Amino acid sequence: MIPVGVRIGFSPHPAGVKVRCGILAGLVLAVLFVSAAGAETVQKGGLRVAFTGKISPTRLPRQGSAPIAVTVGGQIATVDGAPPPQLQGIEIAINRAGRLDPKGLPSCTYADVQPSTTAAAQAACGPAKVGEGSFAANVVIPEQSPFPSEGKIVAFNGVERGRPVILAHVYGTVPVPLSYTLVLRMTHGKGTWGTVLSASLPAVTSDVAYVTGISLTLDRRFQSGGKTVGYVAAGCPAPKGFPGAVFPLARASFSFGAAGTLSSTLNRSCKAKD
Amino acid sequence: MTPVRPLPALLGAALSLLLLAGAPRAEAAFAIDSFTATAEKAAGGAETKAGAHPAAFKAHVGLETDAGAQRPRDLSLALPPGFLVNPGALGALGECSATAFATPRVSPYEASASGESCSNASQVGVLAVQTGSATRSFGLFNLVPPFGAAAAIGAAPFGIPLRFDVHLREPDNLALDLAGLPQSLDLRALDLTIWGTPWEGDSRPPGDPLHNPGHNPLRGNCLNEQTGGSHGECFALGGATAPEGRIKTYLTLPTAPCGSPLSYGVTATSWQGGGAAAGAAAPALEECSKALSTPKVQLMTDAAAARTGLAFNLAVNDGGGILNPGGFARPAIRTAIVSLPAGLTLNPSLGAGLGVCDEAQFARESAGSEPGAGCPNNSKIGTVSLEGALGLAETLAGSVYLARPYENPSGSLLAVYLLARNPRRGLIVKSQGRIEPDPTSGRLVATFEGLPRLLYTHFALTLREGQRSTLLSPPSCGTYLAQIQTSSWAEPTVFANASSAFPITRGDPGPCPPAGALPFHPGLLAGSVSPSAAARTPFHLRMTRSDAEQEITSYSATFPPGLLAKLAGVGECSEAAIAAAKARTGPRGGAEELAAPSCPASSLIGHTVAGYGVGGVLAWAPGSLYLAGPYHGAPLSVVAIDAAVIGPFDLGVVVVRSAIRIDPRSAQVSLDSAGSDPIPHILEGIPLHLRDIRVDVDRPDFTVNPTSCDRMAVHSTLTGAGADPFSAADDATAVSTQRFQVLNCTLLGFRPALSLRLGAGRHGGYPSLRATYAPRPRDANLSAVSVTMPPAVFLAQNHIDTVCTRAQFARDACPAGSIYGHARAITPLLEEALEGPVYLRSSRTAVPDLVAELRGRGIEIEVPGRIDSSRGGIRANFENLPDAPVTKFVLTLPGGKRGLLQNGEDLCRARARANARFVAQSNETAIGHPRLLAKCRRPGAHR
Repeated sequence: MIPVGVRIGFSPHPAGVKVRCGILAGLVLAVLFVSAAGAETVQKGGLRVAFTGKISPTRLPRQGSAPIAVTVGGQIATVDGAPPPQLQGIEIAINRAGRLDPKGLPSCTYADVQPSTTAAAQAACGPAKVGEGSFAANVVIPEQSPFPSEGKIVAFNGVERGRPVILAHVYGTVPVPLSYTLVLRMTHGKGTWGTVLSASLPAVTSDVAYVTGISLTLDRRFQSGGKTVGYVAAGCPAPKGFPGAVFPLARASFSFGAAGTLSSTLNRSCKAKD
Repeated sequence: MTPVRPLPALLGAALSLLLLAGAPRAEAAFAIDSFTATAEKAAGGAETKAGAHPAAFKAHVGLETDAGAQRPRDLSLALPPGFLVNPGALGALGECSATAFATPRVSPYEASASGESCSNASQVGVLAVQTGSATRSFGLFNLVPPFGAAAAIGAAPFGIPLRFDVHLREPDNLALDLAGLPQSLDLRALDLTIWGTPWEGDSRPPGDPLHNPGHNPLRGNCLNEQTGGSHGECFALGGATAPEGRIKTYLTLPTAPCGSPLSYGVTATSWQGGGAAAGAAAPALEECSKALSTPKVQLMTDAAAARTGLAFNLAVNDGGGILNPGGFARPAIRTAIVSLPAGLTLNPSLGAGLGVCDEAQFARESAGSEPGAGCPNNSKIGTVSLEGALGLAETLAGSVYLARPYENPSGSLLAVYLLARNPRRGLIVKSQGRIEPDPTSGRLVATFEGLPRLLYTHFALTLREGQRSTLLSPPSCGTYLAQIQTSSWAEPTVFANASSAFPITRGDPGPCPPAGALPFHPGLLAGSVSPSAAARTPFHLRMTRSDAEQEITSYSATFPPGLLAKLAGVGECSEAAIAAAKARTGPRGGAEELAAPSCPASSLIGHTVAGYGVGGVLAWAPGSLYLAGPYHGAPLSVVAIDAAVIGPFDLGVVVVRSAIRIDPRSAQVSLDSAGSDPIPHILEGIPLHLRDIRVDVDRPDFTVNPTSCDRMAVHSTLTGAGADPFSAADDATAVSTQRFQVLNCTLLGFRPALSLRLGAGRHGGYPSLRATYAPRPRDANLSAVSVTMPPAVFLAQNHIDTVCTRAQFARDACPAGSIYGHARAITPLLEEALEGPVYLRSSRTAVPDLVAELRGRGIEIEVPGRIDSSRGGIRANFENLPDAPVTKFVLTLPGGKRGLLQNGEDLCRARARANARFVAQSNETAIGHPRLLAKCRRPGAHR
């Protein structure tokens, strides 16, 4: 599972409006092995996060893995409609049965894509592209009407200090052209969760701007070793004799600073293909 | 009778003696060895009742001629002040013509020695002359006086005409002047008897002591010249007695003062150069106090708020006090204080073309002076007439002259001289008065002191009416009362009170004005003299109102956008100078301001003319318009300094200062009433009735027309004084909109030039930006511009730290963190550049605005730029820019850590261009594609 977070933050300053801006393109691969689209809603206090995801195809090999396309989204809202707190961190723990494999893909650096338009980023790093998506946010500035901000996300296979990362490049032109690249770093764990993706968003203390929607589809397939492989690959771990399986694929956590962290374990199903 | 005694107190005599002192001393003596004078009652004894009519006046003059060695030439008998000879008592019938006076008499009773043949009706007494050692009596007749003499009486002893000309010595002293006595007469003494009522005996009934069957026992036609007695009947009117109604008194005693002896005097000169004087005293007057007459004051209109004059009428002896044998003359009014009702005020129109009369000019006025020889004709503001003086049917007529303000006997602003005369009779009366308006209400109190002492039957004073009338009637209908206090010459300190009512019954014209406030629909004219766009042209403003409307008390206006002024090179009138102007409240304050303006010429921006008054003729006062510094929170102000010199009236200086507000968004200029001084409506107690205000902002190259030919307007708000000019509570306002539109915008050029220079052009860098706008001179001003950066330039949101809220911006309290750049505008209108920080300010749109806050000479201009995107590029939109000429405008945004921009590409290779769209105030448009000139390393340069 790869959740994606994008955030634009403006925070009030004691003597004005302090803007912690950036585009935090939170791109989180949240759920691998998702067998079907669905929303998992988690609420804490008045804050509500609905994780969504879709995987295709859902019929996967019982043994080994096959390239998949996964779309992951997240909607952040509050029960009373008030602006939610700032999203400050994203962490996605992935079941060890799934894998992200950039091997054989070209990679880009942060500087190659930031800042740039989507077109320029793709021109510079098109071969390293691993997916795309979109983001939506609302911005509230004192004395200004809230306005929506929308942008396109393009995810690239990247390298930071020799380690693979996902560079989630966000570009939007509304209300003004802006560009932001979120770096999702990978670490490896033990137990159920084999891979952990995490991204820190800039420290935000204001709730004047908030992310309202994130969506990213990772669907890159490429040739490697004479075979077509996927950047994301998975199999259906159903025991022999069972047509499919349902099991915890990932655990997603959105940190909102003082407002706490909302987490959800995403269970998905798949059909086994022998 | 009082013995002869020296009369050093007699000024005339003393003067005569002084004059004679320088003459060659005569060898022989010449003196008056006896002089007596008395007014007698019919029953004998001295008549002492004030204002009474004596039966006769008798005077004896005995001359010491050194046995004929000195022959008298001139002789003058001075009567006490107020002792009157009334030639009018006899009328034309009682006048002896010059021909008759020169034709020898033929008497049926004896051989006459008299050289006249005057009628019985003209005889007024007897003159006994002593020549050598003989004394003979002759008839004394009322003669047709020569020009310049009030009356004349004469006799022709021994065929030698002796004529006493009666002259008025101001104020009411009469003298009987006998000039040119022939030496052949050898006069040694004379006894003069003037009958008090020449025709008296004709009507005396039998039994009356004065009845002497059919004739006056003293009548001269029947005179026995040897004895002074009568030979027979000699009726005054031929063979018939005079009707009682025609019998009038020829003499009147003074009406005042009581308690002091009456003084007579005589002076004489001789052909040989001798001179002599003597005086005599008669018993003091008694019973001086007489009832005062009641004066009447009338307006010359019954219309409200109308131009009017005023008539002051006083009938004193109209009941026959001067001529009625049975009556007594009443003393003349010495002081009259007329308190006019509230609402009856002076008319400033009076000042139009009005001159003044100096004290010296007034002093030069004499009974015989030509019109204008003394007071100028243009200083007349009314008329004066005096009827019945000396019993004459002829009137003393004259004028009311305006005295030179402050330089008059009363030292007051409004003073008048009164003058009436009869040149033929040599009669003149002079007086003066002052009119004191209440400083706040304008209510008038007119005080006339030293009114004519010469007795009269009717005194009338009128203040003129018409276009330049003296007064304005009360503004509403009703009955108004004038309070009048009078005192007489007999008792100057005792005042009698009276009132005089006059009704106001209609409007002018039409019915009575409605109760309460008058309507208020003032007119306004405003516009540039030249209608061409961008022209440097005078601006003219004119406010008017009709007489039937409220007074204008304040003015405020919003001028069309783009109608601006070139302040470069224009000084400011200092606070001290303005205070000095306000302090010019003295008698010549206005003239001083005109001669030496308080404000420096460098601050002069225009002129004003104010028209004061009512009706078709206004009095105009000039003024000047100056630029001044901050006022009521505005950066600049305009101060109108008007010398309130309305004709001859110098009312000081009127200073009206108005704050000049400049809209920071549009640079639109306005004058608001909250920042403006009220226009005074009364000065020195004179309601100004300001009806026409003309303002010409005519400093060369000062006012600049807009470059927009859109239809615009001058919006003015005028405040009316309401029903009560002294209260702001009922003030009314009137809004006037005057169309304003300039022409020929298409003749203006428009070719704007914009350059964009960036700092480092490398990808990912945060470049600085220097945007320079430089139009051509005489181009139309910029109305809007939008600049779209190429998509390769991003907004560096991560550098946006603090945004100034609009509330903070309004309070001028933006935090330092909200400053992201600097802007500088150079305009030909100012010597100094307008410059200031560039803020990010909260906006009504999605993205904060980029706002340049420009300041210079206290003026603040706000240039907001709305930020959005167009075709993937950041776009800055500057709209509704002030219609003001700009030579150069530079906006600078720093780069680096505070940079608002970020390069999305390497601009050194991209050769990126921005798109710019310009809109002129004239609605011309222009498109530009300025290249982004980035700072790039030269190829081959080392790092």
